[in-house]
Amino acid sequence: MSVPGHAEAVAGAARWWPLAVGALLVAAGLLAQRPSVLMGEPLAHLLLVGTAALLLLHRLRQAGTLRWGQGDSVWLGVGLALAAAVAGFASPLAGALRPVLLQGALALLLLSAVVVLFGARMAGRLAAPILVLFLFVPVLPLFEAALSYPLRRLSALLAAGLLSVGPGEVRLAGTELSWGELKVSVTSACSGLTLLQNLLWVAWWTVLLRHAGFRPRFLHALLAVPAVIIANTLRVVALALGAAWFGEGILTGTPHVVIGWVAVALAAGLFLAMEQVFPATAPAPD
Amino acid sequence: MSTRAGAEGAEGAVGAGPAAWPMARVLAAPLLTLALLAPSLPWIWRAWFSSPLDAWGWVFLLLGCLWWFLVLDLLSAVPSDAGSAVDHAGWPWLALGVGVAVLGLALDVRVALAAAALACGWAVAWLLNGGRVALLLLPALLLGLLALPTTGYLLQQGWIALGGLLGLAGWSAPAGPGVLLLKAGVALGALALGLLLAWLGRLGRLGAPRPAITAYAVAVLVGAAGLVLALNPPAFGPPVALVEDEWAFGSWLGAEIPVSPAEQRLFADSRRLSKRLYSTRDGRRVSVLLVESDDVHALHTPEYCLSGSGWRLSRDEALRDADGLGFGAEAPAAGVLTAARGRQRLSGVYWFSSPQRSSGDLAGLRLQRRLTPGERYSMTLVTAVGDADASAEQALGDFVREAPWTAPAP
Repeated sequence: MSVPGHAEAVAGAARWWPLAVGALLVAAGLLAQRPSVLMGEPLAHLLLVGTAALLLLHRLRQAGTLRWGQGDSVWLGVGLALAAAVAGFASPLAGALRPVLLQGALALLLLSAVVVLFGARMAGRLAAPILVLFLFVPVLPLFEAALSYPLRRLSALLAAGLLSVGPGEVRLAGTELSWGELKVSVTSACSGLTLLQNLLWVAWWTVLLRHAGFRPRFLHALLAVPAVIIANTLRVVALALGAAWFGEGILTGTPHVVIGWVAVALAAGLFLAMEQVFPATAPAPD
Repeated sequence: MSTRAGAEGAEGAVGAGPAAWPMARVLAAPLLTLALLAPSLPWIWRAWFSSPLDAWGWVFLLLGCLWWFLVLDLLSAVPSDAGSAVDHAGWPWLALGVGVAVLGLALDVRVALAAAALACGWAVAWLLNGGRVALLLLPALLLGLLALPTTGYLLQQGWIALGGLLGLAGWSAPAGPGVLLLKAGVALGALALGLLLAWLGRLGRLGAPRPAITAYAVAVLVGAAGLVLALNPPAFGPPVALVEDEWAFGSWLGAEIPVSPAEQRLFADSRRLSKRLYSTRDGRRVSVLLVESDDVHALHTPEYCLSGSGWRLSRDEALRDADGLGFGAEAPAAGVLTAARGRQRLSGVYWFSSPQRSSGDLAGLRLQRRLTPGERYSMTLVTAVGDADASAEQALGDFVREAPWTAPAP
């Protein structure tokens, strides 16, 4: 009589192992964050970390139990650990990319452990939250530095194109728009990066709930980029028109903030509207 | 530890009768280890009796040897390994040992060569005697590593890093005798692991790891080494030195003082060993230790002499801009440390130099030696002692700001 009870107790205890591993991964992920990035930057960073942690725990809960070293997936773990070694050893030579390789080495090493503990399939499901937690968010400042100018330039270019449809000559020098007497400079604050960061977690949750599988989720999430560019371009155009009609005071102060929030809503709306391109493929298993 | 016991163990582990495990299989691994370790033995012997962090290393070596011989008795309880005469799961470990040896030879790091000798010996034991026997011999390998000089220093650094990682303010590394306790704790853990493995072996639950699992274990170790390197990349800066013929500058007045016996012992092979004490009228005191040598092996990190003098380190990391030490634009690549001894607080900065560049750690110095061999190397250690953290750090900051530094162009 006691044997089945004992077996159930053992099975019950075994179900806790994946959650314990998940808790360790989340704790390590929090240690890997720079406090300045997590707490001192836009709320979007915190939301991304929270989403990744939630997904890690939720998906590991579904793992059932440990599959330590079963099957050929161990060799995949070997490959990932060796890739982590390559990233780590190359890191001191990588200059500005050093943090990326350092965090990448950590993420790959942990992913290799997931492969060996839970198998390649579960590692595939955990890859996105692990990469977001250990690689993407910690090096966000680097991404921002790299993406700021291209995004500013793109928004300025598109805004100049739109404005040139109307009256008056439009000139563009770098990221500075000249429209008649008016000069509008697309600064880092107007690059759309904050917009993108906010839309990223909206997009992540949307694709999680609407699709199953990595490919449709990833392709759908990519639509966040054009949504942000369109919304930011329209914001620059709106600011330029506002400055032309109501004076340059509109470029600072409350109207500027309001237009910014409208752009956030517009970007989110555009992204959600683009669901027509990627209709829900299947009820999400998550 | 009779020969018979060894023969029985051999029979049990290989499972093909005594003929399948001649005495050569039993003796091959220890003999190979001894042969590979022989060039390092004089260095090991000397460090045991001169370095406070490496003292009593022979005890760990003795324990490791005893465990190795004990395993020969335990083998009779281990279920037999059927299959080929060579356990291929041992190859990744041998590759790791060879890799460490190549790295040690390339950078001229003696502890890497000695550790590689132990690892290669253990890997050969794995190949010849099977994975289960190798697992039972694992405590002997760990005890052997604890016997090597520098492992005490590495444990101390790991302890400080752990405190930093956990964000524990006031976490400090043990002083010299405390490092011995730390090593003893690790040794006890290794012995407990060995007993656990032996018990599992008796229950028949100790399986021989598959080649994929050992390859993964080795890959993780290499990956972790890469991560440690990524976290502590070697950095180089200008070869900053104190202008020697200026004994008075700012509010500071200097005088040559005798070095301590511990420093004398540690830097016995150096070409020059000089210590100066600079003080001000308001009681601030800073000492500058300068060691010069033609051989990088004669230089040691200051943690050795500080730990030997009873200081407990609470911080030991690379100098950053945020430290606010006033070297200006010509700051050397250096290490900063803080330590406590009773009510005393110590704040220090140190760097190793060649005529070409400075580095904050010995690994960087070894790399320099490979890049530009045949040069003169030096270590500069500037320390301030006070009654509280602030006073020591302030005195060090004031001294660094006012002292006449020179950074000759290479």
